[in-house]
Amino acid sequence: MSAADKHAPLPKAAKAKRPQFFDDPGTDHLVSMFLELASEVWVLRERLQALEDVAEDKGVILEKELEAYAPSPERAAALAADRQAFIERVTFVLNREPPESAGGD
Amino acid sequence: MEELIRHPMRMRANRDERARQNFVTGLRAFVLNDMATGMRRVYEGRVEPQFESSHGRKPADGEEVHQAMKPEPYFRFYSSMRYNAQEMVWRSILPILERERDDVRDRSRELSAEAEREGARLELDDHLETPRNVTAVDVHLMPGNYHGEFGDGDVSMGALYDHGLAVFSFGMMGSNLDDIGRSVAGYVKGRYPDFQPQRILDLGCTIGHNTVPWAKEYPDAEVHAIDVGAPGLRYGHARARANGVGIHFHQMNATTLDFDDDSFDVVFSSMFLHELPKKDIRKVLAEAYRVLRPGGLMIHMELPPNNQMSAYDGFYLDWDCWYNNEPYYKPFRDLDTRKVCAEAGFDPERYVQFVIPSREGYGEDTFQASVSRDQEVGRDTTGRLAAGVQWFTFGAWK
Ligand SMILES: C[S@@+](CC[C@H](N)C(=O)[O-])C[C@H]1O[C@@H](n2cnc3c(N)ncnc32)[C@H](O)[C@@H]1O
Repeated sequence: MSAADKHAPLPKAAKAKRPQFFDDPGTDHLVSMFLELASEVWVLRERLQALEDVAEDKGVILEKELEAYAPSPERAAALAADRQAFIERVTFVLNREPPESAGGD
Repeated sequence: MEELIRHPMRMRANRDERARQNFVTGLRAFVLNDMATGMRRVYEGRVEPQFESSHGRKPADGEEVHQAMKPEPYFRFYSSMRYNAQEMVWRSILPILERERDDVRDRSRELSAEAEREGARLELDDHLETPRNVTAVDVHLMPGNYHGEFGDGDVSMGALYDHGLAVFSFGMMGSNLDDIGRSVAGYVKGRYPDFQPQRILDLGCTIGHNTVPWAKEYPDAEVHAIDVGAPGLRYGHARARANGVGIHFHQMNATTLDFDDDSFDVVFSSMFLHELPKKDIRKVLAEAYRVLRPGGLMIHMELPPNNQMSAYDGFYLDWDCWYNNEPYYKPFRDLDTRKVCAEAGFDPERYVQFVIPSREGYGEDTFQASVSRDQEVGRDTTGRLAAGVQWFTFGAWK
């Protein structure tokens, strides 16, 4: 890399005014934290699933193997379905009292 | 691991980074499919009837629906989750990009050099002024926006856009992010089999992801793509080579094209006009008219106009204008598309408008069957990124 190729750090946040959707701005921040937390939990779950799959297949767990692991189409599909169910679970509060049905399902 | 991007410009993510991206993709799908349905139910079940009983009529337009929805907890959660998901899209790429950016730049340079050797040009213009609609805000909340440069020959914003779009679109834009281009080019080819364009131009191409399919659909044509953002053009030039086609990329403002009169058979754009102020939309359409040959086709893939949809659907689409840093989105959607084409010089009799089913989403059979049928905007799947999306296009023959 030549000196001319030196670069500046990339910006971490967009040039934008964050909207406030709730009466108390704290609630908006809680939503952000909740989603970050949910994301981290999901990351753990994917890793755990991969660990279990690999262990089952090989009887041995190697970091290198874990990195290279690709779920079969069936496992990938099962994981994707799990993921949607997981998101529904953590956002359960929204649908706990189902919105007044308009005669729909 | 299943890869996020299927061409050789992809960046290497580790397992946890991929899982984080998967989560964001899933969250977006949940908000835009499931919560969108729930929100409509809240509106139809309670908000609209309440509005009717207090006003003696239904809401007249999207803005009235918006005001009526604002106090609703469901709308507030839909909005804050969607807003956060948008920010998380970029955050799921940035640490990878920060680590891989030198490598991406070097690979981009190599592929670009190969493209040049094969005759596909990359023409950058250091003196081109970036228009205010681009410098004023980070569109789609992408940190750095289309034009940000953070080093010499930087391609970071191109790489960020490509990978971010793959997380963002939850498959709705095609596995190679080219579904709009594939659908529109394939539709034109199927509907007008005798039309054989020799020169094709894509306006506001970003990284040329929807330009590539034109080069594939019409392999004998010379394909050009322009944008004001250099990082995307550099990246796009390499990306086109990585996808096996040669496209000429130029850094140019679409309001003042540096091409001859009567020099193109197709002028295309995708998701471009709604990011321009109205006066620039008019200039771009007039430029499209100027550079088209008589008998040539202008065709824009866009958001469907408000006057062709219900107040609720208008409200739903305008969310981006209010909360996704898209200030020109609603003004564009309020335009009469036939009228602006006529004002740019096109014969109103030769105006065209097509609603095209997503080629990857519906499959080749349904797609090909749609080519000979006209369809109204009507359905709420038109122009909305959700399962069953159909692309809205309009334009005119010169
Ligand atoms: C949403 S992106 C278009 C994406 C792409 N065409 C697609 O199919 O997804 C809008 C692009 O328009 C470019 N742009 C904005 N104003 C422009 C102008 N006046 N002339 C040329 N490009 C412009 C931006 O740099 C950006 O890359």
